[in-house]
Amino acid sequence: MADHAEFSASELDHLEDALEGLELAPPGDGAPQIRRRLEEYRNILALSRAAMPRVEVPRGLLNSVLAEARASVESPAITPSVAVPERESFWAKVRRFGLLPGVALAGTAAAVLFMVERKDETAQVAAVSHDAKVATAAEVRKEAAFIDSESAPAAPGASAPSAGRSKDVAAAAEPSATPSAPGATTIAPAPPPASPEAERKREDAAAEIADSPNDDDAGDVQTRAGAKGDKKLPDAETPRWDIIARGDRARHRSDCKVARNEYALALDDVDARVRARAHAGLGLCDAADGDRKSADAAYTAARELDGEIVAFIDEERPRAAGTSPAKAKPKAASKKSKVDVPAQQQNAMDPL
Amino acid sequence: MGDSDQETRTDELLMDAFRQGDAGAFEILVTRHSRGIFNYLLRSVHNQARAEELLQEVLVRVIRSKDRYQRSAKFTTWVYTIARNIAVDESRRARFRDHESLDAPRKGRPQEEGRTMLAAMPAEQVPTDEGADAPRLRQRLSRAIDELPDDQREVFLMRQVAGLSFREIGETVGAPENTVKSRMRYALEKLRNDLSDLEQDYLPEGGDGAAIAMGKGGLVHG
Repeated sequence: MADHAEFSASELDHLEDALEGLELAPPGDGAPQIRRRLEEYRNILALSRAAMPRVEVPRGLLNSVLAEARASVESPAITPSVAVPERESFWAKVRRFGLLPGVALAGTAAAVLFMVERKDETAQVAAVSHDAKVATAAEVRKEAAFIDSESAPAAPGASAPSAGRSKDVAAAAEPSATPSAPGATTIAPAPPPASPEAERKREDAAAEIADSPNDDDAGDVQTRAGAKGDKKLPDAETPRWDIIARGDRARHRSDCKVARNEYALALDDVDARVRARAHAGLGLCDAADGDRKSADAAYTAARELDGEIVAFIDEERPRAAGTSPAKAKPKAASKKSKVDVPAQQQNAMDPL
Repeated sequence: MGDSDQETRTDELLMDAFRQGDAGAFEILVTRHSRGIFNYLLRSVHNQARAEELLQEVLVRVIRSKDRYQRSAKFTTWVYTIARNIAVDESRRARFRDHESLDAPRKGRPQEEGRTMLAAMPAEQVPTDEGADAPRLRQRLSRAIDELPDDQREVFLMRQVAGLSFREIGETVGAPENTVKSRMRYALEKLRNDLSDLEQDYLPEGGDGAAIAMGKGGLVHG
């Protein structure tokens, strides 16, 4: 600035120091140049005072302010006082900053672990259920193929019903399978739609399957569960072809003990054809066991109930005897036939 | 306690008494300082109505903040710090206000194109008496003060309008006393240069009676 060139640093300091009381007394000492500059400053200050006369505060302007001051004194609670906060202890800080977030974190972690565990359990159940379904379906398909292979050469004229029956067996085993057309066969129709209660029982049984360590038995357990559910809640007005189908499957597995139980359940069915099939199944089981007398009686009872049952008995009798030359050849080729058919059954005679 | 005792007590003692519940002490403080604060605000915002509102705001803040006041601090410094903050906020707000200056050239009407609003106003509506020399000089000085840099202008106003010492100004604006003095000298230098073209002799109305001559070389004490 210009004054830097005009004045030295000490002179500038002198100028600034003289500003404090400049208006009270004229500059007395110092260099003439400094005194002249201070005089000019003094004139400017005087002029500025004249240019900016002091304005009085309007009357009554501060009445509200004074009233507020009085109010604040009379009711100190209204005035927001600054309370000195108590010094917080270390443990209080730890609790405030550590405990709550820690609890929240632990809770979140527990919830996540619980959800992950539940997810795993659900996946396991789904996998086991899927395996069980696959096993059951495979078993039923194998059985149906076995029936077809046995019945086709033995009774060419009855191949169509036999094939239809094998399809019905598979349909009975697989709940998702479409029911067969009505009238296609009366031997093993698709099971009727189960009631909601029965469905729930089946789901419970599926859960038991999931808990079962042996997956190979899953299909049987599922089947038994279905039978158990049906036993508990028999539908008096619906023909229980599904019981007949289960009995047939057990009989085809040479498990006549189970088959007899199933057939026995169907002896009181509302449908005479079902009852006839139950008697026929029992007779076939008796024939397989070598009890020709009982088998004959059962066949007779079946015929009395349903005259058309003869065709079925004729069709199934070679299987029960296991000695038919027509099917001996294909069975000989199959290892399963040797294993499945007991030796005592091979000599059983046809009661009819 | 009598009024005479109240009057002799320092600002800090009065403030202490107000904090203890003596509303009269606050009234004395208001009587002592409201005029200086009001004029400082008036010269800062250039609007009397707004200055009145701001004065109320300053004093209300004093009331509400009385418990935060520390006796070690000078009351004058404290209250002018509040006033300065409010004035700074107000000037910031004013900068963002969308208002047309009276000196700005007008737009729109062809007959008024290029004229300022001040020139377009009828003579009797102009809030200044431009005809007289003294007021003209006063106007020039006011304008020159307004054109000072903010830090110099606030020091100049606190010194000239509020009557604070350089130490108190330093405490209020948060600067060393020497810095405040330097700012004051810079302000005086700038005003001297801005008014150096005035050749007319002038005797200030509010001065101490001494004749002040304004020559080509600047303002000369006569």
